[in-house]
Parts: sequence; C-alpha cells; structure tokens
Amino acid sequence: MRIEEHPILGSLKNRRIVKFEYDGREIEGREGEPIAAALMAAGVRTFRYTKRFYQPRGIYCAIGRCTDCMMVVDGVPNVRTCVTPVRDGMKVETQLGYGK
Amino acid sequence: MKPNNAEVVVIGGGIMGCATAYYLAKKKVRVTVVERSGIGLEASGNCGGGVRQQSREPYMLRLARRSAALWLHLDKELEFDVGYRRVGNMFLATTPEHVEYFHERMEYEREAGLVELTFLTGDQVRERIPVSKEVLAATYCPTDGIANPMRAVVAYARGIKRLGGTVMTYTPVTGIEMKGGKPYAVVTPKGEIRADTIVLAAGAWTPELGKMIGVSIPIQPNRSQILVTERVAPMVVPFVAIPGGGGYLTQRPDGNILLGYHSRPVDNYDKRSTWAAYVITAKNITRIFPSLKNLTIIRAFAGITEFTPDTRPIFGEIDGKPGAYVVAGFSGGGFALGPVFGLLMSELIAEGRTSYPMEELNLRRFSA
Repeated sequence: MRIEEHPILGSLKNRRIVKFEYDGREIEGREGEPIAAALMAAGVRTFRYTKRFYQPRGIYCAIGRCTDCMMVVDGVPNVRTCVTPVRDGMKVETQLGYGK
Repeated sequence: MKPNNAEVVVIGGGIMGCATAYYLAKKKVRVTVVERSGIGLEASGNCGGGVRQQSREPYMLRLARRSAALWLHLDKELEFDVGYRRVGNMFLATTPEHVEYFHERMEYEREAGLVELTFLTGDQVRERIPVSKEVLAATYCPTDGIANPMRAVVAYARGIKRLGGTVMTYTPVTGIEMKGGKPYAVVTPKGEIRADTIVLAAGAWTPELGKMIGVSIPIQPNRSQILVTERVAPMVVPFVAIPGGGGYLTQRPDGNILLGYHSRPVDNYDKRSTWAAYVITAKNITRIFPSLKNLTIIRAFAGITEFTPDTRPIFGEIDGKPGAYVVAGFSGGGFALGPVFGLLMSELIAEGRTSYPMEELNLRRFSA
C-alpha cells in the first residue's frame, strides 16, 4: 500500500529506491518517504510493543503527535517513524518497551 | 448539595488540607474540606514528587523523618497506591565549597537522626548516575524517595470520605463569618457551613483567607516550573538535587524524567510555563547530565508554591482568633511533609496538644 500520486506531495514515480534494514531483513523504500510509509508498504503493521502490557502498536495519527509508531532507529529509541524520512543503510528495529 | 454543618472546616484541598482532614476524621471529628477547584490541582499536584529528609535544618529534619515513616505505610493506611518508593536522594556538589558544606551538613543531620546519610565521592556518584566530571561529591540518603503527587492527595481525599467526612470541590470560600473573635461560618456559593473551628490550608492563597478574618499572613507566591522528557529506560534512579540553584531531576516509574529548575517570586498566580524557563532548565541540567541532551521534552507544567520570610512553614492557632488555625507556607518543600503536618494539626485541634513541639512555627513569630 502506497500513495503513488499525491495532490500536494506529487508523484512517487521515478523516486530513487533506498534500502534499509528492518529487524535484520532488507526492505526497500522510496527516497523522501517516512520510515513508516516504507514499512506499511512492506506489510509491517506492528512497530513497537508497550512497556507494561506488551501490547502491539503501529501507525495511529501518522502526523508525529501520538508517538504510537516509535521505533529504535540507528540505536536511538523513541524515533517517530511517521515523520522521519527513510535513508539508505538505516537500521530500524521494533521497539520493546523503552527500547534500550 | 446543601452543605451540612461541621465541627471543623478545612479550607484548601491540597496535601496539607486533605491530610489534616483525614487524620481529624480518623479521630471521629466531623470535618468538611472546601476546595476552590479540584483535589491537589495546585502546588501539591504540580510538584516534583520528592519525599526528602536530607538538606533540612535539624528541627525540620526530625519532622521530615516522622513524615517518611508515615509515607512508608501510607498505601495501607489510605487503602490506595500513593506511589511511594524509597529510591534515595542525592545532593550533588560541584564546587569545593559545596563539598566542605556537605561535610558540615552531614554532621548535624546525622546527629539529628539521619544516620543513614552517606558521603559519595565523584567517582562513586558516576557509578550510579550519568553525571559529568563537574560533580565532585554527593550526600546520599537511601531512605529518601518519591511519591505520586496526584495519587497521594486523592488518596487522602478518598480516605476522608471513607471515614464519613465531606469533601466539597469547586466550592470557593467567599467569606468567613466571625462571632466574638471566633469562627462562626464559612461562606460559599453553595451556602454557609457553620463551624467554630477552621483551618486555613490554601497554600499561596492563604493570605486571602487571612484577610477575611483580619489577619496578615506573610506568604509570597512563587512559580516553580518543571519540564518532562520522553519515557526512557531507567537512567537516574535516585531523586537528584543540584544545590546552588542548579535545579533537580527525578525519573518517574513510567520512565519520564522531570527537570525542575526555575522557581521565581511572582506577583500573580499565573502558572503558565515560560520559554526562559525551558532554556535555562535544559541548559543547566544537561551541563551536569550530558546524556540528557538527546532526550525530547514532551511537555512542561508549573505550580504556585508559597514562601514565608524565613522559609519555615506556619503552623498553629492564630493569636486572638481562637478556633482559627493555619498550616501553610512550606516554601517549596511541603509535599513530603504533608502526612506529618496533617497528623500534628489533627492532634492540635482534637487533643489540644501536639506530639512534637510546634510552637516555634506559630504565625506570631512574624508579628514581633
């Protein structure tokens, strides 16, 4: 699932393909799109598990407010993947609790 | 709800008012708490949540020690989790003068009963918390801790109701009627509450109540601001204070770190956060804790604390107004003392004496 033609953001066609690592496997994204968009397109729905009850969380607000989509990116926990652009060689991991 | 008459009306639904009313209700006194807004919504609920004994003068330290003993069993007493955890309290020294003063302070504090207070070298501090080389030493009190400010005050309010007392929220006091120099009734928009005993426990707003009965109460409001970081894995276990105006920080059990620094006298009761406080707090605390630089501040809040000229609280009956009591003026250190001051005020009202000498905290010290 990917919005190929967006009335404001334009077209995704002809965008460079970037490759990044997600929990040990390689995933392709389009340059300029958020990490969350690339993961959604790859079928990933669970981005993290909550600390206390170990419940799955994924995309909710998608505009950087709710913090449900936080993951560990290049070793840094609590990164909001819906507003963080994907880059070549990035290491993205499912966040467990605080994501130490 | 038409208010009933009471034996004692406590004005103020913060930790002092609610603790006082709780222990009064436990002594079978018919008590009503009148609160202008909600329970614990001012300084009590907007504080750092530290429950500290160390770094107090011997007299106040002994009171804080009694309070710490009450906190230890408060969950059971109030049948509610107040979030009390003995995570320890550290005071950091960043100058040789601090270190010297710490040695002096430790001596009289241990003599006053804080026998577990220990001295840590800079390296011993760095083994426990991620501070810079700037930290030379610390005093560490393992029996100090934290509690949950919101839960603690609510727990007392629930306790009052369980024991048959009344808690009236969103009920401002518009007047206090006196007869023959004694309290007669507390006036609210919901009606009058007849009572010949009143307790003024309205924190920074206590002077307004004093005016209603012709008494001057020297309390200056201060705005204390706190920043809240995102949740992170445990990185700072004890409550940490940086003396010399350096601020304090405490990591809550949920992982958020609270950064407190900015406390300033204000001539109004504005409790909005300010940009200046954000900048100065972040700057000062990250100098000592460099690894906090990468954390995101997710919100901020402020509370109005109340300062007296000598920074000691005011406790006791008002001279010339038999039946009118004050418990206020905690000068930024009141949350930890709520249980013991509530208990002592209930003793004073119900039994006419206190189990700890409290005369020197009477309001009359300011009239000399």
